[in-house]
Amino acid sequence: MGAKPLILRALTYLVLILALFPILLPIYWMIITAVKPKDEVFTFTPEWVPHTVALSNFGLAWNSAPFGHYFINSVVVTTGIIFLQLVTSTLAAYALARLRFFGRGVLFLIILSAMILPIQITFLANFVTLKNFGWLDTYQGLVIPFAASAFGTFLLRQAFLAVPPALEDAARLDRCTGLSFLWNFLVPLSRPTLLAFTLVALVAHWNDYFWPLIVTNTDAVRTLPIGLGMFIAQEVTTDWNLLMAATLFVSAPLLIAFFVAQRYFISSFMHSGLKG
Amino acid sequence: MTHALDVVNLTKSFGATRVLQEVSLEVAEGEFFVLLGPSGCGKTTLLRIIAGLEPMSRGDVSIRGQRVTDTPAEDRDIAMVFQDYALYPHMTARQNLEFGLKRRRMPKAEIQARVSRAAQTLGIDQLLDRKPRQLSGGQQQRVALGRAIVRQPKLFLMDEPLSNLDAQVRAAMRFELKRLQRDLGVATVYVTHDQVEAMTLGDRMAVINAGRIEQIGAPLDVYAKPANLFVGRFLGNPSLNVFPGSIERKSTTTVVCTPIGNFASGSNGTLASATEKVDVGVRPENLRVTDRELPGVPPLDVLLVEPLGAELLVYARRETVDVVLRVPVDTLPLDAKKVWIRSAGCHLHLFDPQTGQALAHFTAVEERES
Amino acid sequence: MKRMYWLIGTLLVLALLLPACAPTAAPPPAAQGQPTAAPATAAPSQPTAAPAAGKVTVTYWFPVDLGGGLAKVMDSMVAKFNGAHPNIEVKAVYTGNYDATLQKIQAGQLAGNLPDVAVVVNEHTQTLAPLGILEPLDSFVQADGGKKFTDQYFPALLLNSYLNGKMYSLPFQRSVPVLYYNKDLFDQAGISKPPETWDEMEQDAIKLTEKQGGQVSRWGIEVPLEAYNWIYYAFVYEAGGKIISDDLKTLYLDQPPAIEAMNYWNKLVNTDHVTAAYTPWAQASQDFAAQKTAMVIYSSGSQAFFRDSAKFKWSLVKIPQDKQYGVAPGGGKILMFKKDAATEKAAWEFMKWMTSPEETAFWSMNSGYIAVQPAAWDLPVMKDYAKKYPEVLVTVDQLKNAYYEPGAPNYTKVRDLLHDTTQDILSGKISVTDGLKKVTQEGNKLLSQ
Repeated sequence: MGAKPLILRALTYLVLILALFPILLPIYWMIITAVKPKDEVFTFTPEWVPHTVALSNFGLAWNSAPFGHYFINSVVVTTGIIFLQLVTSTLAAYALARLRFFGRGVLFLIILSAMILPIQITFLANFVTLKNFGWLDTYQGLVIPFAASAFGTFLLRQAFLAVPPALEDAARLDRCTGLSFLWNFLVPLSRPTLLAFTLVALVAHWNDYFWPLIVTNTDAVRTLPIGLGMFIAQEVTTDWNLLMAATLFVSAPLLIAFFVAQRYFISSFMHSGLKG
Repeated sequence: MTHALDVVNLTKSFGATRVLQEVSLEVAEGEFFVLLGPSGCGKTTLLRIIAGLEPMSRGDVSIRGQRVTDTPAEDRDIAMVFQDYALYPHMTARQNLEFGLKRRRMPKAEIQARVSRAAQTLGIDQLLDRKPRQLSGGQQQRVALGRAIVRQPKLFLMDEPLSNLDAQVRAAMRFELKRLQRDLGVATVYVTHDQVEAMTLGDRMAVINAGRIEQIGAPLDVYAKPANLFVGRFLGNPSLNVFPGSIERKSTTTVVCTPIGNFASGSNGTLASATEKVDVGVRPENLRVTDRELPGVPPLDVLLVEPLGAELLVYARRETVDVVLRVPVDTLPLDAKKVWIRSAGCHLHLFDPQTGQALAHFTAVEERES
Repeated sequence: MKRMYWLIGTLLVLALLLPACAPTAAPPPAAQGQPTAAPATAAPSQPTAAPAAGKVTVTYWFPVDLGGGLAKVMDSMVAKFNGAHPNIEVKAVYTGNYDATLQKIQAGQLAGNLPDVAVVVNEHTQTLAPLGILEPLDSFVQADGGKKFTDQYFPALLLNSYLNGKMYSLPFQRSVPVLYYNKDLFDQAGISKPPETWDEMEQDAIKLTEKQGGQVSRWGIEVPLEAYNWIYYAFVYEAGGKIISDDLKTLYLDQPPAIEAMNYWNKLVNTDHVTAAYTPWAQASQDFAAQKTAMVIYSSGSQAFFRDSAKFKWSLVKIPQDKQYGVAPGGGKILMFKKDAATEKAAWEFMKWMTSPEETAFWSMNSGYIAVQPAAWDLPVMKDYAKKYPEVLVTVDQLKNAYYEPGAPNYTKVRDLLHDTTQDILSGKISVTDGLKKVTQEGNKLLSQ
């Protein structure tokens, strides 16, 4: 009796480990490349274990650009964007999901279509606007264009629609209406969606290269990906070991954030089940 | 004396469709009032309008004599129990109970006292720290009731609160609900499509059909004297037998002739208003029957006999007319092939075939030759 | 009721945004000043934000196309310039790679936010000049001696500085394609000297190609295909041809030399099987370092990389010749945008300085680009450098056989068309002559637009 579940369990783990492989392999390769000396990066047969560990790569990479400064800027900008996106998306999603007003359907369609537009289409208009505001090369210039998120609005609207209307009736009889219903019910009940959206936005804006490069000119407001960009060469070969070393410390905060968030993530999914 | 609730000429339309038409009713203090009707008849809409959760097109609603037509739901001081409970899934049972009181800025001690009293009454004191999804259906039902009770409102509104429970729990909850309501003495409007709930719970009830109130009255009165064919058919299980009949007026008596036999009324006056052609309704338990041939009475072919224990359900047919009878178990052998109706003692309802309105209710007597 | 909450929500959003907006109410004139502040500096009575009165600020955008660390080298050069010029303050801004720099310039044009000086890739001179935002350099050159001034530079590197007879840029970070070869593998194969002709290159590649079980384990040569069609241009020039007419209106890609050049490449791929049909640019240098190819035609700027990465003996030669030697020098040029006279004067000082013998030598030794003035190569530091790495002289030698790297208004589209068609030809989707005919016809249409 006991043997069968054990075999099944072993099989399950085997499949999971195999599935993990393609995810972990690039990360492993990044780490070992980051510690390889230059003449070990390219070899006829791939070297899975570095012969010599060149920790100096990290120092070299760190000193290639003002990464300390960039790090603070990335944190400020990403936090600002995510905070604003959460506030605006939540309010907009509430209006779209729960209020009845003229033009709601059209408005939602417009927001949906905004999701499809790539930044390359809107960047010139945004750039000129920022220029007129005098916001080029400022934190505002990096944050405000992303203060609203069509994707977040859409995602949260769907989550809010999934909350049964009877709950709103019950809350109303308990004197909880409007924005306090949003805060006391829709927000806590949509926690997994909020969290998922936060993580997606975090990755997108932490890694954003194009916009910061275009609107900033000084190290005082530039972000980490620009520092990474300095390692990538078009005409001759990229210094992969330095790039990987830099990538490692640029992506480490994200990896840690995910690691911390995942337990919370899973538990909030487990506890969010609505009846019916 | 002011009523707990007055609804006056309430009309609700969605565009051209009338969901409720000129509905008027009153509910006395402490009364258990049931809104009964088939699904889609507008009873839930009526309840939600009373709650203030939905706007009405015309009419007035008053609670304890105070007009609340324009008062938002949260200020009407009513409590509602929803069909799927609408418990707050992210809060514990205790938080569910406390929430409305906290929103009303009640002192903490008072909240505590009310919650523990309600929890004791409902027997959920052990469950207060669980979240709704950790509770069974019956337990969730109790928490939902508790959330209404702690509020100590002027009026309870209940929207099919038992319909999501399985049959056994439902019967038990029905009993508790009735007892609870009596103890609390708070006027209650209760929506259901289940006639058993309506009959057992209601002090009075309103039968609603297609947005209109068909009849208001004590359940037994409504059952015994349905105002029209719809009410007659809607109440009772198995349903009212209905077949065409004609009136034959004689010198001392009036006889209703039907395919299953003739029924004589005791006096001439009873059926005075009846037209020549009528629809005859008779409840299965109101037909008397024998398996011995009665002269001059047409026999019915027995299709099936279902023993229910104390009673038998007999499905019988005469030509194209089907009849269901409910009789004491020793009335017939289970293998009876033919039965005859004894007309004397059968209780009949006569309806106008055009309007469906009741014309008379009477118990047939032995027909005497004049 | 509901409408009220909607209103409150809207107000809340506005309230959140307003504090961020508030500062803008005051400073627009100052903020817009960036381009207009310069005239103010022309009048000495009006001090700018800069510490010293009358100091001219020059904004300088530069891409880094050669790996990490170079941004720092650039910063140090700018600091040196600023130290030597008390009246000029150059602000250096890293702007990504060549393409990102072009995008930033185009955005800047719309927003009226252009830099004063920038480094752009070779052909972008001809992209930007027609927009009317570049300041022609002729009057500055004239004032500094005219032909005597331009003669300081390798003539080959000035080929791409002109459009419609006007000069728009000075050579800054330049490179040519050369042939790198793995000496160890040549020795193993018993090849005593590097190839000098197309035939020798082909024969050597055949000898050097190694197969294991029908699969190529090492290519004889890699000819990478990159966005600028650099190597193909070299082949065409070596075959004695030209890419484009002098008036930049007609392509010569359907002429016999252009066809011969493509035939040769196609033969290496599809007849000899000594090189892959498609090798991405970035991969080729890595393959050479990993000995997955014995030869590679690559940028002269990669020498430093191979010195660090290759664990074997290697060297480089000019790309072997057909009828003659020939290359189209690539890389980046420095140019100036239309500004007020004072700023332009300061910008010109900066451009001259950055391309002066000392500085171009410094940049060359740090980056691997070719120092743009012959005089630079006579400096003692540069002679020592050349003694240490004699192969750098090959690149200077290659400049004797330099031709125009095609660039014209609207040429970017032609460039992409040629790139894509080359890929189709080498992968056998279209024949050499049909492919080149198509590029010529469609390309001529694009050029006449």
